[in-house]
Amino acid sequence: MSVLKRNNVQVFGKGSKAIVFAHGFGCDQTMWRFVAPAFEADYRVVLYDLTGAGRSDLSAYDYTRYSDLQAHAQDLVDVCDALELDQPIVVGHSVSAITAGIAAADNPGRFERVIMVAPSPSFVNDGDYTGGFDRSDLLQIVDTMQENYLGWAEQMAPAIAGEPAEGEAAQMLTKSFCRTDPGIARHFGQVTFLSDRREDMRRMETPCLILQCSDDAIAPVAVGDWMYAHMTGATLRVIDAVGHCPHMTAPDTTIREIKRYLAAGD
Amino acid sequence: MTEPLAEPSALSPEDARLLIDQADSGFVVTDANARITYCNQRFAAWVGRSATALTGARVSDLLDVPGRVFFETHIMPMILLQGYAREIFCRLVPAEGGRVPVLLNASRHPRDEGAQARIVFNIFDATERAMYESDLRRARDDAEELAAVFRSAQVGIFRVDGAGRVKTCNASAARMFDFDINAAPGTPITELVCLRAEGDWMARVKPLALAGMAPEFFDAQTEDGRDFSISLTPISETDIAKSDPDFSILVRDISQRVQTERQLKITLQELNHRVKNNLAVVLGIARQTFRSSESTDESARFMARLQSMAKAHDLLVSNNWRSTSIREVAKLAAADSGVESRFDIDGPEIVLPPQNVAMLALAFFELLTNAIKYGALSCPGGTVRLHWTLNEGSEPPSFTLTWEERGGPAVDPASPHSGFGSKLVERLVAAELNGTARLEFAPKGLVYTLTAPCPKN
Repeated sequence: MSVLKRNNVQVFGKGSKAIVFAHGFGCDQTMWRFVAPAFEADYRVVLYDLTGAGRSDLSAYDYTRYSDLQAHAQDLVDVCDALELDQPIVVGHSVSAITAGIAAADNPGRFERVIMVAPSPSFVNDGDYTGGFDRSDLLQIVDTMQENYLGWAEQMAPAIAGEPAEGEAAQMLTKSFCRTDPGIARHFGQVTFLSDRREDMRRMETPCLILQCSDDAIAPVAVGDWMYAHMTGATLRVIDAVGHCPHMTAPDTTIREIKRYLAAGD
Repeated sequence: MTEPLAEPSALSPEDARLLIDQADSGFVVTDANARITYCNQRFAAWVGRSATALTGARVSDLLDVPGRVFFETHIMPMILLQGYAREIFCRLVPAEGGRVPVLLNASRHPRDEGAQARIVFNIFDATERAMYESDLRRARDDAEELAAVFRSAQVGIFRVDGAGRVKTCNASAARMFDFDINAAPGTPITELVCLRAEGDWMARVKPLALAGMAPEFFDAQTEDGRDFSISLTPISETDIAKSDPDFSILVRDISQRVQTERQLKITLQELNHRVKNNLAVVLGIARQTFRSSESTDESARFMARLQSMAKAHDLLVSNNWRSTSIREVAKLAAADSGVESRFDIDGPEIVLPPQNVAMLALAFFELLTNAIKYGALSCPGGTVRLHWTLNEGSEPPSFTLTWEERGGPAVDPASPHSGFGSKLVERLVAAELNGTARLEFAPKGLVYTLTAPCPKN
């Protein structure tokens, strides 16, 4: 199976420079629907589903291989290689911000810039480092995922999708939205929340924007501060937004900040 | 034509108040970011704070840590992208501590509007559901564990009905007997597992298993020459006593083991044959050699020793060269004497490895020969007491064996006894058994004491 099919890669927009959007834990590429269209006039926009999420090829999710975020980082590089993208800009949300960082650290010069939306390289509190969670909390998260197995399955079933919001397109989005195998979701959750990738952030040298929400229970401000202090070539922007998904709750601000950062480099 | 529906009675403000505050579910209205603008009394009571104090708080702030993470990574994206989220299980954290398990439903109004939209949460107490779901999960985990064993077992496992038709089987079974696992249900087990010279083996074995309501074990060979160990066990359902129960059938391929055993048996037979032959040849040579010799006494003794060795060998053969107890070796010596009744043999069960058995048998033979010629068995009424005991508290565990003669002619302690016989019983046996031995010519009768470590099993 080709990489483009494996990761359900979608390409649109007109521009020579490519911008690749990588979604975070718990969802799929639909997460970018309020943000990505704003770039199609100037960029070649690339969306994809992480292996194991959305409409990716679930059979490609090898539990051993994907127990390390490195595998997702390699997938990102694979997607860029398959499309022969020359130094694209990568925008990653949450865990995918971190995998984009790992990919950039492993492949210097492969990406022009990396934009990290609500990133956290490690969720667990560790000495001076405030990840925001105790280890026991993180282990419980995985249990909660299991408890929602039934509710979760219902969310995935298209038949219970309820009244269609508006027209066929929306219905299609609803159908694919957050559709994944519960076993994979649990495993990915475990890998996401128990990983410590601070070293990768330290060794990454690609210019990078950290887009931090002012009130985010998952990636607290202290994490953004740590990243800014320890990463080469990082710019930190704290936006006035509540929650962990500014690309959905504050898409206009998110778009503006990304564009401002990209313009500043020209 | 249907009657037009009656006009719904208007909801009075008092009833509306009652409905909202006393309904058995929590109602919460928030802004687009899940910040509370209104909640009913039921919800406020669950989280142990006043409705006023809750205004401005985010719904996720009222959840436990995992719930908060789930809220941010799943529930909010669902609300924002599809306009609703249904039946999500979370736990509220009341101000006074503890947890309230709830099911959370949310919808956005208007459904597709951005920052101006409001979200309505409808929250149910899920305490009971939480309990039975955790039971369900546990049951599922247990079932999955068993299923994993069933799948990965290297043993073929079948469940068959009373008529011997397969209900289910594992992949190993299909591999062993080369059939399509999907086609197996409904097929008679005897068609899938064909045993040599037995058509309907199920019919033969089933009554045996039913008779004891216990597993019935048997070994069998298939048409293609492989050996299997098979067990047939009636499956007893807990509450329904069935006269015609299902059976579980476990099939293990033991071809290799049977092959090895067969090989070993052949080797053992060959070994016995050769040792016997060699002893016969040595005896023959001895007879030839000593025929003209003066020392007939010595030659007779030599041949008797060879014969004693042949007997020890026979004992080992009859035991398949397995370990042999001291008692068996002692009884062999007593039987050899022809006066078994004059032996008093007693001691606990101690088994010796084959190499020790031959040596101990030889020692007994020497002692016996001496007893018949000069000792307790040389005159009527003399006895031999052959006892062995475990030595209390010795480390490593050891035993002491005593051959004690009584009622024989008085022994002259001064008479020289340093021939091959005494050398054998004292030095060779002690060395072979890794212990100490002493031959004592006491006036009342000869006493032989051997102390050695118990062989490890």
